[in-house]
Amino acid sequence: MESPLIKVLNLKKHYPLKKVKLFESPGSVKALNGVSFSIRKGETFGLVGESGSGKSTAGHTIARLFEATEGKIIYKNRDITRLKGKSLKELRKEIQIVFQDTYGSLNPKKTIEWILKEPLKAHGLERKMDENIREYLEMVGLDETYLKRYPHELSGGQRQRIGILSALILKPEFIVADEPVSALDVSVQAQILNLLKGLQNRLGLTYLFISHDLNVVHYLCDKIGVMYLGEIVESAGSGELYKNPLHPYTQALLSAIPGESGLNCGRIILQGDAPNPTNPPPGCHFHPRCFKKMDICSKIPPGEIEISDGHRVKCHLYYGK
Amino acid sequence: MSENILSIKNLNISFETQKGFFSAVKDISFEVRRNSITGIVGESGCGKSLTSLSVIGLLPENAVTEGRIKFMDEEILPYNEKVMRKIRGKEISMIFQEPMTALNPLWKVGRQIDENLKLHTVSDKKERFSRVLEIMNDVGLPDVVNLYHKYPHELSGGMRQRIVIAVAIACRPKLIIADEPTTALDVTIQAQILELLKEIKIRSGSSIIFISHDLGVVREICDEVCVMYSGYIVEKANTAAIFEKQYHPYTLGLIRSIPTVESKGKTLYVINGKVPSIYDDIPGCPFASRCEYAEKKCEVHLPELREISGNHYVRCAKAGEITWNRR
Repeated sequence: MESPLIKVLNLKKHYPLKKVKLFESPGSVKALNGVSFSIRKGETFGLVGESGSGKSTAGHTIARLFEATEGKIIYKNRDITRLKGKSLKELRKEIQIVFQDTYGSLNPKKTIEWILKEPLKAHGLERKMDENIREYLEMVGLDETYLKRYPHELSGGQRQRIGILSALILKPEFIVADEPVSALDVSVQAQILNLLKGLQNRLGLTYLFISHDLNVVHYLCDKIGVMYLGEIVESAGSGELYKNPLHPYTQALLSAIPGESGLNCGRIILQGDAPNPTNPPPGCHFHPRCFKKMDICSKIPPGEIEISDGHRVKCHLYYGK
Repeated sequence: MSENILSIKNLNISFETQKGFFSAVKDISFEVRRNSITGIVGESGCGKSLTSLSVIGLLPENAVTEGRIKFMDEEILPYNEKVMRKIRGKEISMIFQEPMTALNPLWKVGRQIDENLKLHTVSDKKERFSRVLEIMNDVGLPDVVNLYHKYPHELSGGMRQRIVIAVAIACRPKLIIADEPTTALDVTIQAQILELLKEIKIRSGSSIIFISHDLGVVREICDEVCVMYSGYIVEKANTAAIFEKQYHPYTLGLIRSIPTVESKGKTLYVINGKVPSIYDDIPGCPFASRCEYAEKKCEVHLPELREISGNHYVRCAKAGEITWNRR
């Protein structure tokens, strides 16, 4: 079997907290606490979860915007977790990121042309610059007239197209898309999703797609990982996950999709909020909100077990089955 | 007493700006029945928030309003600030989208609920305190005595939104305007808040105007739906009817562009083009330039909002003539 393009092994990212007492070691926020998955070339892997689940931290760490605390990121059979300097810069050409907030990610004082040329200049690729940009503009459904404009002159959808384009311009193979459609209206969202899909077919891209919208993730992704408090609690092929959600959290998430597209198994309303990642509950992190909790859940954190081919879950309910 | 708690007739809202005069809300009429939830759906800039602000009298100062707004058999337009102050917060209240900006960061949350009571109903301090705790209980907050003395930043997003709702229902208003109350929240928290709003409707008999861009949420919670586009109501019906059959191509387009389980692997439906700018003066149907069924007449004549079947209104010249291609 073909080896995966990118493989993440037990990835951890902890943010140390401020020291409160002199002789006590400060705690840390465990934003990412042992995440593993792999993505094959041309595939889309989706990470879903609520705010604070660590999905963006995962994306940013894998794109090497943050340094991982522990664990490994293997890209094309090469460990890139601790790359530095020149080799890291080379890697930037292959792994790019698309952000959610296009107001924040596009420089408001520069023209679109400058924004698009910047990555090319940084990597010394000025030579074929103009023809490159023209070709790519067309690919995302814009034309040359946009080059002289500023970000504020574009609509939300157009700005996101530029955001995608500025990630694409270096011809990367792997793109981390961090909630690229969350800030957009429904009709524009459909345009951008079609665009992402079209680009993937045309350029053979591999995506790590991060979103809180389960409909969108199901539509776009081949495989899905559901995150809760820094861990992937369940992962499976997207069809399988929708048909047969195993983890109570996944079941609740799916049933919470408003409208008809949700599962018809009756709505599960979770109590309370996601706990603070500084001080997660012992045992299974989900147990205080879980509607199927058992005695063991508050004591021992469940390990990951594979239920069927490629369907993995972290839950005590499935031990011994 | 009439059956409708609020009725809006031919409402126009326009603005005088440096770039010229433009109208943002055009010829809007709808009613909110007693003890019901009316949804207003549309994309950003369609005028749904302005419509709701006009009901509570919080439009920007340069706004020019025409038409009639009748609240509980009383005309509130043109606004009388003295009257509005009595109504606002007591009879009509509002739930905002962003709880962090709706709450005062320097006030304890209990005091923010208390303020509304103090202004409108109860004057005794002790009585108010117990009322506040009661209301906090009603909106499903835990450990209320402790929570009373917390600041907004100490609470999670879902809890903050519950506080905003508590402020809104404190005086048992007849009408609550909820402007995208769940947009900033996670799905599981959204489900909790929607459940709470339904409960409030049943328990206190309030009516709710629910503004959202999310058709799924609207379907879930509303009894009646108005779809807005570019300042107009383009379709209006009860929720079951509108999701059963859409007469306006925009409504249909909106529903079709949401990814569903069935659409996996296929190209998503896209409404071509973009929303016209409010500075554009369009004589005909505002949707004509994006509509795949548009004819010459659509670009010239603005269609009337007409009743196409029982209580189902649509503003489209061709509605009913042809069946939209659903695929």
